[in-house]
Amino acid sequence: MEKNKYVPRVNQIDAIYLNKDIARLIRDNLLENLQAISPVLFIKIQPELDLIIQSAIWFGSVGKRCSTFGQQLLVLAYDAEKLTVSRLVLHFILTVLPGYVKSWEERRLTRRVEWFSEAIMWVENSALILNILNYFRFLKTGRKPTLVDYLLGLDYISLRNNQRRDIGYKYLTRELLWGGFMEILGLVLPIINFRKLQRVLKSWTFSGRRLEDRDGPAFLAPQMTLSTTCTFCGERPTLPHHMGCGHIYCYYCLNANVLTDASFCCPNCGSACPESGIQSV
Amino acid sequence: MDFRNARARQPEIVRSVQKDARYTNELAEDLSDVLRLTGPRNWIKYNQMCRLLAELSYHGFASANNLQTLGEEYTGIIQVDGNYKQIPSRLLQLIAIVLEFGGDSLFQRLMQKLDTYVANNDEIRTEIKPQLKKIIQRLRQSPSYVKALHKSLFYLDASKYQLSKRTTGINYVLIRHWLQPEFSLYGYKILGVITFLQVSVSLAISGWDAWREHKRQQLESIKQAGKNFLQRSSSTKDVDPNTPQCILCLEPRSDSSLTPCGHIFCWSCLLEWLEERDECPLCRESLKKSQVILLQNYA
Repeated sequence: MEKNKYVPRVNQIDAIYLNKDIARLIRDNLLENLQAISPVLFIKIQPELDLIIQSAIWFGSVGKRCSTFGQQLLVLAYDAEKLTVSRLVLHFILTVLPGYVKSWEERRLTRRVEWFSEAIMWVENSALILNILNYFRFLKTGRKPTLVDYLLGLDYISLRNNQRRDIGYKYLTRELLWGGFMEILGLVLPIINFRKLQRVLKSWTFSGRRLEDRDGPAFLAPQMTLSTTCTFCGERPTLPHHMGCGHIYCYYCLNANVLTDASFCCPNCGSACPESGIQSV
Repeated sequence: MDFRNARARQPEIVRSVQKDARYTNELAEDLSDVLRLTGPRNWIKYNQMCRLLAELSYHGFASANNLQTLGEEYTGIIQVDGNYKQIPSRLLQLIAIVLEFGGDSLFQRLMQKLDTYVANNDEIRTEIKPQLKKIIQRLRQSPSYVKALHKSLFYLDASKYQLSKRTTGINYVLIRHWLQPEFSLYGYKILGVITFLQVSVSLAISGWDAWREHKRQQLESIKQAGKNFLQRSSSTKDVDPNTPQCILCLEPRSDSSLTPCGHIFCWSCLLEWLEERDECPLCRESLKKSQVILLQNYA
């Protein structure tokens, strides 16, 4: 069976990102559980734990099936003919060991070896720059997306014959719609006058009672006793005030409502605030 | 023969742009790491340029080599000129890229220079300068509104997503349009309407705020005139070192307000505090806004 040599660049890049995410998920979950067992011991042997986990991931993916987990998700693999034993060993050395060497140098060396630290930093910086250059080379040629793949001469192949990658556009549509709704809600909610809205709704439900009560006396003298409470907040009224209907409010409760809603009516009897405004008891 | 019937639709273009943004973010992070090698001072100074450099180099590289970007490859679209016949020229693509990623900073820099010119120019009359400054300020804020309006247009009729593509006339077509799945674009029309409503409401709110600010300034100037008249008739008093101070703002107290537990603060400071929690700032006694008493004629 002839191998399918063409692999879109975007699939190769996505395979790398997926593999990074999967490895980080596995590592973080395992380390979190191990840290809960014994924090002191964990700190002592963390570099070795990292090495073991990374090695297990590598053996479970590249070592066994010639493809990383990210590649498997996208039905890709390394070209098995080029993946000889020596290249496998080199791949392991170049992908798993550098992290361990760096953390070993940071934690294990009691006596600081200047040339070794500088050598490690130099290698790290060179790798970073070469990775960027290799990225642009990959954009042009479409082969060997990472520096390790380039050094080892490893190509990606597709295990599925030129089948298009399925993109779920309906999820994108739903996400955009939801985002749009949320943004316009966030814009509109602060400018809604909820007090007026609440009053209008209440007046609709109790319109008959309100019409009947309007025929009562135009002015009632408020009666202040020891047990009098604010009609609005239900506590002892601070600076008692009234609006001509005989019910007593705190100054703050009454004035805040009248300022917010010019048509504020008494919650108990539905009387409107007179033109003369609120008065002190 | 042109490819007008293979024109790309809203989801393909949006997804392509999102994908490219993801990859340029990664590239910007790598460039930032490289910049850090040159020293922390350079990193602080030029870190903002890393993103711009990543975007320009990524898209410029693709354009220079006649390549699709990764996002375009992902969604299976390609750029064509205004006639839907051939690939746009390199110069046109370069102009579109520079406008798309550098246009914002160019515009802001232009507004900055205009502002400086107005402030320093002697030929402009002094009373006109504040109005010109205000106009420049509004122009500075206009790009976000223009972009949002353009986006709502895009959602409604799927022509062009970026302003730079509209100015240069570049379009997108599907490479294999016969293989594309059929789906409803009704959601995007709703999204276009929502985006347009959002821009309208936002403009209305800012207009209302500006009008109210104008009214407040008029009222304040009237008050200031009255205050000046009063101050001229009476002598100015020195600040008394024993003036009581508000514990919340550490300034002389204004509009003294008393709590049931006996502590006194500025009215505005106390009410602002009670927006967050229902207790006295000093002794943590339970306290509601309605229990605050404004003291009249109290020193």
